[in-house]
Amino acid sequence: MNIVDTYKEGQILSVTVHSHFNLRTKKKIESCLTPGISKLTINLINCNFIDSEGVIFLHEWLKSGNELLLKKPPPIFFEILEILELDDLWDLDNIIIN
Amino acid sequence: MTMVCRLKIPTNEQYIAPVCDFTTSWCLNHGLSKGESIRFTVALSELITDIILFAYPENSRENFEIEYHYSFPNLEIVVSELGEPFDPDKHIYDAKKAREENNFEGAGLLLMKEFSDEFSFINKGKEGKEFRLSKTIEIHDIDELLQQFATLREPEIDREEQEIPHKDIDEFTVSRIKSADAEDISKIFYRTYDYSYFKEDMYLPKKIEEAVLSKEKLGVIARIEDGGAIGYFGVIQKEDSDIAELGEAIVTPSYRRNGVMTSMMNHLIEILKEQGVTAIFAKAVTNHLASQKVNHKFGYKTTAILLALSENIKYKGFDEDYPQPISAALEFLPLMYSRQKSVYLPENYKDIILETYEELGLDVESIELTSKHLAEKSDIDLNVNYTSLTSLIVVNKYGRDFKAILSNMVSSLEEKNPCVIYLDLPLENESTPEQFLEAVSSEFIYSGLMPQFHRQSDYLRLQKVYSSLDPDIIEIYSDFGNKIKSLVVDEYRRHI
Repeated sequence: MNIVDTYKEGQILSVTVHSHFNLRTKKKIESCLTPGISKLTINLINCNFIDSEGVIFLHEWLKSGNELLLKKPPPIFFEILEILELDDLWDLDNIIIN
Repeated sequence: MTMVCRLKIPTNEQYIAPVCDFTTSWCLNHGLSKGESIRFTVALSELITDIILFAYPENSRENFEIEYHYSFPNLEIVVSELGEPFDPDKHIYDAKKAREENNFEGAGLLLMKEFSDEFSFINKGKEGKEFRLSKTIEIHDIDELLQQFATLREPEIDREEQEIPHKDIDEFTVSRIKSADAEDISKIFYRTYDYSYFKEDMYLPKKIEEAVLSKEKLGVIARIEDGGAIGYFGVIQKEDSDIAELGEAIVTPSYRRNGVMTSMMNHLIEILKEQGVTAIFAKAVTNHLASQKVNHKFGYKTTAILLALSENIKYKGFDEDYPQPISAALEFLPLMYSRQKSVYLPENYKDIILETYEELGLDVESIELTSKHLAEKSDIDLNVNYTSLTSLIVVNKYGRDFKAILSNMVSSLEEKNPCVIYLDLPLENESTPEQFLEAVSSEFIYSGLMPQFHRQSDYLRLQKVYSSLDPDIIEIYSDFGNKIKSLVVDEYRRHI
């Protein structure tokens, strides 16, 4: 099984993460980010595990002025955002979808 | 701590996920909640990611090691690597820099600390670096579980029964414990101590069952004619030597003075001999003399005084106002006698160590020759007990870096505000008399002789004590034990 499945449509890259969002997953997604893509939709419904590599990657993506949608991130994601004191910089109401 | 397993991991990011999957399962299997298992796993994920990225940049063909240790209620993961030097103090996370400059340096380290109960970094010089993450299984709900256990499964227990002074019994049997005896063993503890016994796992039949099945625990149980359990005597086999530690010895109060303890002890010794166990040792508390008196009745000899070994635990029926960490007398009972050993003794302690050997009836030859030849690298193990804030450094081999490693280890451990650090030096190693001076210069004082303690070899135990102790209330039973105590106390007083 791939660690992620990706699907490109115009400026949108849709990603499904299976199990872990870590250094390897981050690199895999980065390799799919071709010029012109400005929106990432990441399905984390099967991801029970994210570490700082994943969170920082997403934070940097947002800070670069891109769009982000996250489907069902695991509870640890919110804890890491809070510990790194980044939570107030995220417009979670508009980023998280169920 | 008992090491459960050791993994050798290539410095390649594809191994992060499988290691994390294993770690989460390991945590869950040992009773950590799902949320805490994931947090602890994230701490490890951060650590191994940092090792792959920063300790071995551009090199995915090296390896590092992960050890998993468990001792209820603590889980510990030790990661060792030989990558580029690292100073954690130079990598402090700064949220302002992260928010304004996208500088996330130290984020991983912060999460390691947040998601573990204890995080330690130990620089071992040429031996590399060691990271220790530990987590304690929450036991706040255990009281409630125990209460249920008592009321639902033990309705026949009548508190008044404990008031009955003595029951004479004509016959009782003693047999080796089986996993099916676990619940009865828990009941004996409950009847004797209520819930005041300090080892929670003795109230958890499932934990006892697992320990018996895994052969970690070996023991005997005494029963009266109707099958009722009245006594238990258990030992725990030491991981790195063929000796066993006296775990628990208990007889239900109303059945005492019937020879049950003696019979269990004799039966257990026979079983241990059959298993190839060469000696039993006990760490007898010194806030009262009861345990030491019983041990000496069975022929144990005091060989060391371990200052500040454990936090102050309140035992039912004993002094509940003991004002300091509890020290212990190391008591040793040889079951088999081997041929004469050659030992290399530091001049300062030569007499007391030789006297200790004589007390034990062990034949040794003290060799005067010392060697200054050292290996390039030392081989040293470290065990940390996060509950009692004690650590044990065990020297397997001296290298030219011994002084630097010892100093680094002690400095790293001191950051955790320890009660005491113990140091075991191999007496069958001819460099010990010379290298012992390095330990003394680091303010270690005498503790005593630890016979056959690691790899069947004898060790000199030294100790560096950080707790404030009143030596006058440390009670030692035997005359020889008191001789060791006066040496230890003299040195302790000189160092405070």
